[in-house]
Amino acid sequence: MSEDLRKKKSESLLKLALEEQLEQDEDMLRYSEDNEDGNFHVFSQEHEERMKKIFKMADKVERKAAYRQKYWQLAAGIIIFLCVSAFTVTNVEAFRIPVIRFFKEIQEKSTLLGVVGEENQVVSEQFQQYVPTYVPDNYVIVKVQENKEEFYIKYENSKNNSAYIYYYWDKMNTTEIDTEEGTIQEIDIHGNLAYVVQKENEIKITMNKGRQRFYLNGKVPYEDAVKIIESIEEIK
Amino acid sequence: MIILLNMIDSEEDLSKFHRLYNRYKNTMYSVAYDICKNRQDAEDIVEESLIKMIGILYKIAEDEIHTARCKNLIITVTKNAAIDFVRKRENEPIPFECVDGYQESRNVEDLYIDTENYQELIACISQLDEKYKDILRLKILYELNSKEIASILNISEINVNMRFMRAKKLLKEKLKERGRQ
Repeated sequence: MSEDLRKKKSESLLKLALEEQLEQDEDMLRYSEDNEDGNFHVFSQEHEERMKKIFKMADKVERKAAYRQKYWQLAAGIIIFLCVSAFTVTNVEAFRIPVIRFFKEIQEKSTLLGVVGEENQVVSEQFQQYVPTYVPDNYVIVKVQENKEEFYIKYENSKNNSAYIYYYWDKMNTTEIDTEEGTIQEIDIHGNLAYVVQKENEIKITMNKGRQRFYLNGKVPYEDAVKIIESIEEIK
Repeated sequence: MIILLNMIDSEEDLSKFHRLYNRYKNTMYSVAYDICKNRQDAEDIVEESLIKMIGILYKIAEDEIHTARCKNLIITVTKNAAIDFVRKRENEPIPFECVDGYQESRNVEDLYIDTENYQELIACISQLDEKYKDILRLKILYELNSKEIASILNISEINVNMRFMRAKKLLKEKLKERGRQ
């Protein structure tokens, strides 16, 4: 038998022996109920009064212990509930999809808040006038990238899984447009010539103003795409 | 939350102390009176003992109130409270805790007991002085900590540990003697 086990055995036996010895203990025999002849002491009134205070103290202690136990039980219950809920949500599609959608919306909004700087500025002061003020319904900004002479903003629509990107270049060296075998259309936007290339459900609008280029590319309805470009302050 | 918890708690859950008092008040009075020989002092001792019991109430389960274990604990607490009361009343100094061979006692932790010497163990426990029986019960049987035991026995925590080691050493010596016989 190992040392540890032997020690545990000894401790258990000692505990048992101490309890068993109580049966033959002098004090226990002297004060057993059989020895009391029914001549119980009648406690004084003062004692009863003092006991009321002692009862209050005891009740306070017992209540505290009971509450502590209840709190632990409550906490355990809440944890179990959360675990079961989490399991249900992740495994039952009827719950999972709405929940994921909810958190995705929050993520999009917080991404929007993240990309929108102080005073709701998406880009720095120098480019403010080149940012379209019109954003189609259900589209949110998910990314902004800015350099010294250019920037782009990416917009996403989680409801129909579509997106578009708006680009601006301050000094474009080329005026070429990539048509990619789509249909080409020329339109006028506030007196500026713009080219619209459509291929299936994808649209590209390119508009040059001197060496500045305004460009939109993505999956967005034609009308909305035109409105986006029309809303740029600088070209109005 | 508190209202909810109040609704959940039954009267029975909160009356452990009341039940303890009702069952053992006469026993406590008898123990106290046997030592102090005065009715009023005995009542004071009963009250003092009950206050001490509040601190260790958590050690007594609801279904243990009627057991010998619980009764012995109450008797031990009352008895020591009475002894201390009388000592203070008569202005007696607290006796010095003289522990012979204290350094040796520190190594007496391994008191090995087998089932073969179990009955002898019970006999040896009966032969110990009251104070050593009390300390062994309070520490091993009721699993009180040193602070709680010190409060019941009216000694310091250091003395509690010393007395406990001494008790185990004495028990071991008595077992050895019985073994030789």
